[in-house]
Amino acid sequence: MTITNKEWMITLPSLTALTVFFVVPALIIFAYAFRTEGTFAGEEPGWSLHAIRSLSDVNYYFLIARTFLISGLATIGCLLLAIPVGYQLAVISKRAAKALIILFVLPFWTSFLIRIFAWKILLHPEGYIKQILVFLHLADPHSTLLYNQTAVLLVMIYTYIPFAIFPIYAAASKFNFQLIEAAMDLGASQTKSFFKVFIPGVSKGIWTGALMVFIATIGAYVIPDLIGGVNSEMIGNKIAGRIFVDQDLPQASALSLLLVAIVLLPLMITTFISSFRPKRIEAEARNKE
Amino acid sequence: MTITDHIVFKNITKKYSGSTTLNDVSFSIKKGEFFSLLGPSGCGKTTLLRLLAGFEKPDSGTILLDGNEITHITANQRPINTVFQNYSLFPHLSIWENIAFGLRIAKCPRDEMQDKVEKMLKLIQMSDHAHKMPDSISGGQKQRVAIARALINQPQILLLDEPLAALDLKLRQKMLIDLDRIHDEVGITFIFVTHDQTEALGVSDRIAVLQKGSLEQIGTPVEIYETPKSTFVADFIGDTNFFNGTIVQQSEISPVDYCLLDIAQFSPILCFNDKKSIETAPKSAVETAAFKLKQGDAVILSIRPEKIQISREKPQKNNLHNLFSGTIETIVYKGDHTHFEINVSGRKILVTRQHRHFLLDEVPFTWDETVWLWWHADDGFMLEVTP
Repeated sequence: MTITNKEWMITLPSLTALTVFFVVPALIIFAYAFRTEGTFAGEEPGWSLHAIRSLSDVNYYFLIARTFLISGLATIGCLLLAIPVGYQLAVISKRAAKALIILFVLPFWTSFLIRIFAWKILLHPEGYIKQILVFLHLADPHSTLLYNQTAVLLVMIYTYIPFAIFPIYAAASKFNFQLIEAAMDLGASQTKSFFKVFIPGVSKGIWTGALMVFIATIGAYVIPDLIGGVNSEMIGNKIAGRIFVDQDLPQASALSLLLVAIVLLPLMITTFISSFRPKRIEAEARNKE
Repeated sequence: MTITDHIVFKNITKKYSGSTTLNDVSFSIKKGEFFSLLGPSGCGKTTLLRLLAGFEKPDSGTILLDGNEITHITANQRPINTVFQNYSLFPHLSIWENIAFGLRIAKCPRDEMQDKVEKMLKLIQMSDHAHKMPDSISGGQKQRVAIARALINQPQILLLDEPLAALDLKLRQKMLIDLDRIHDEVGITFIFVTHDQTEALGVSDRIAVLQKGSLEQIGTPVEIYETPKSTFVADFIGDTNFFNGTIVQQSEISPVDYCLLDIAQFSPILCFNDKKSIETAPKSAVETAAFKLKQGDAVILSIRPEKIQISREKPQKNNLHNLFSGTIETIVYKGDHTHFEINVSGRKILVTRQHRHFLLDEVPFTWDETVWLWWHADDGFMLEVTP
C-alpha cells in the first residue's frame, strides 16, 4: 500500500461524512433557490431566477444591514469583554483559571432555550432587572427592557461570549508575558504595552473568536425570535418565516445562500489578512529607500 | 560609599512567599564597568537584576542611581534597559521595528529614528537582515538584535540576563567577544548575570559572587580566582582540591609568612599565610573571610589542580615545595591539557597538566603509574571552615 493510498483511507470517513451531511444538503438548498415558486405556496416544476432576483428587494437591504449591525455589535461586545477576561485567565494561576473556565462552560450544560427563557423572565416588565433599575431610578417604570435590539444584543453576547473567550484564552496562555516586561523596559506604559504587544500577540485568537461569534450570530434565529421585537428581525427569522409561514422554499433557499455568502466573506478576509503582513512590507520598503 | 558610585544597593532584602531570595545585600557598581553577577541558579542574581530593572520592588533596602533613589520608580521611567534571557523579541515586528520600538514609544521623529536604527544595525552587523522577522533569524542574531533594541534608548545601564545561555559553545565565545566590543564602543555600564564562571571571568571588570541570597565576594576576575574568600567561591569558580587541616605550628622557614598544616593521613603541608596582616588591612563590609589564625585552628587548604606539578623523576628539593608521591587513577585527555586523578595516601588529588609541547614526543603517563606531585607553598590558600 502506498502512502497516498493510506492517506486516502484515513481521509475517506471524514470526507464521506462531509459530503453526505454538508455538501449534498448545501447543493440541494442551492438547487432549490432556482426552482419556480408556486402562486400561493410550494413550488412548480421548472427553473427560474425569480427567487434570486427577489433578493434585490429594498426590504432585504434593511434586513441585511440590521443583521450585520446586530451580529457585528455582538461580536465587538464579546471581544471587548473576552480580551480582558482572556488576559486575566492567562495571568492568574492555572488552578484558578481552570475553575473559572468551568464556570464559563457550566451554562452550556443547561438547555439553550431554558437560558433564553430565563433571560425573558429577568427582562420581563415585572422581572428582577427591571425592578432593580426602577428602584435605582435608572429606568422609567413604563419602559420595556424586552423585545428590542438592545435585549437581543445583550442575550447574544451572553450566549456567545465563551466562543470568544476560549480562543483568546488559548492564545493568551501561549503568550510570552515577558514581552510585556520587555516593552515596559523600553519605556512603554502598562496600557501601551498591552496594546502594542499583548493585542498583536493574541491577534490570531481574537480573529478566531470574532469569527466564531460572528458566524454564530449572523444566522441567529431563536434569540431575535424570542427576545427581539418586530424591529430586531434578522435573516434567520426571515428564512424561518419563508419556510413555515409562506412555505416558499425557493425564497428561503435564496436567503440561505445569501447567508452563506455573508459568512464566507469574513472568512476570506481573515485568510487574506493572515497572509499579508503590513509591517514586513513597510520595513522592506524602508530598506530599499 | 563614595560619590563616584554609579549604582548602589543598600541592605536589599527580598522574600518570595516566605523564602528569602536576597538577604541584606549591599554593594556598589562603578560607572562604565562591565560588572558580572555570578552564582548558581537560585542564588538571587536574577532577582537583583529585576530589582534594578524595576520589575520588582525590594521588601527593604534602597537602590541608588548616581546618588538618587530609584527603588520605587517604575521600569519604564528608568534609564536602564535589559537584554532578556530568551531575548523576548516582539514576534509580530520585524528586526527593524523591534529595534525601533523604544524610539516609537518615545515618539522620536522619523528621520532621527531612521538614522538611529541604521546605526544600531551597523553596530550589531545586521544591516542586511532589517526586514526579517525574529523567527527567521538564528539565535546569535536574535541575541544581537536584543542588545540593539536595549541600547537604542541610550540607557545609562545595560542589564544582560544570562544572554548567552541559549547559544552553543562556539557562538557563545564569539558573542562574548562581541559583547566586549559593544561595551567598549558604547561605554556604558554593563551588568551581566550568569551562572557560567568562564563567561564571567572572560569579560568582567569585576565580579560579584552570590550564594543563597548573600554576597560571597566582589573582586576582579583574577582576585576571585586566585584569592577566593570562601570554600564556596573556590569551589564554584574553577576546580580545586580541598584539605581539612589544623595549624600545627608557625613554620620555621619564615614564621610570619608561612605556616604548617596538619592534615589527616598526610604529611604536613606548608602554606603561605595571607591572613597574617588582616587586622591592619581596612575591613570592608564584603570581605567576610577576614579571620586571624592561631595554632590549633581548623582551616581548609585549597590548591588549584593546574598549580600542581607532576613528573616521574623526583624533583630537586625545595624548602617551599610540598612534595608527595602517588599513583595515577584516572587520565582524561582534553587536547590542550590533561586531567589526572592521583591517589596520594588514600586521597584523590586533581591535577591539570597543560601541554605546551608536542605531546607525542613524550612517554605518556599511564594508569597505576607512580608519580611525584609538588606545588609551591605560595600557590595554596587557606580558607575558613564554614559551619
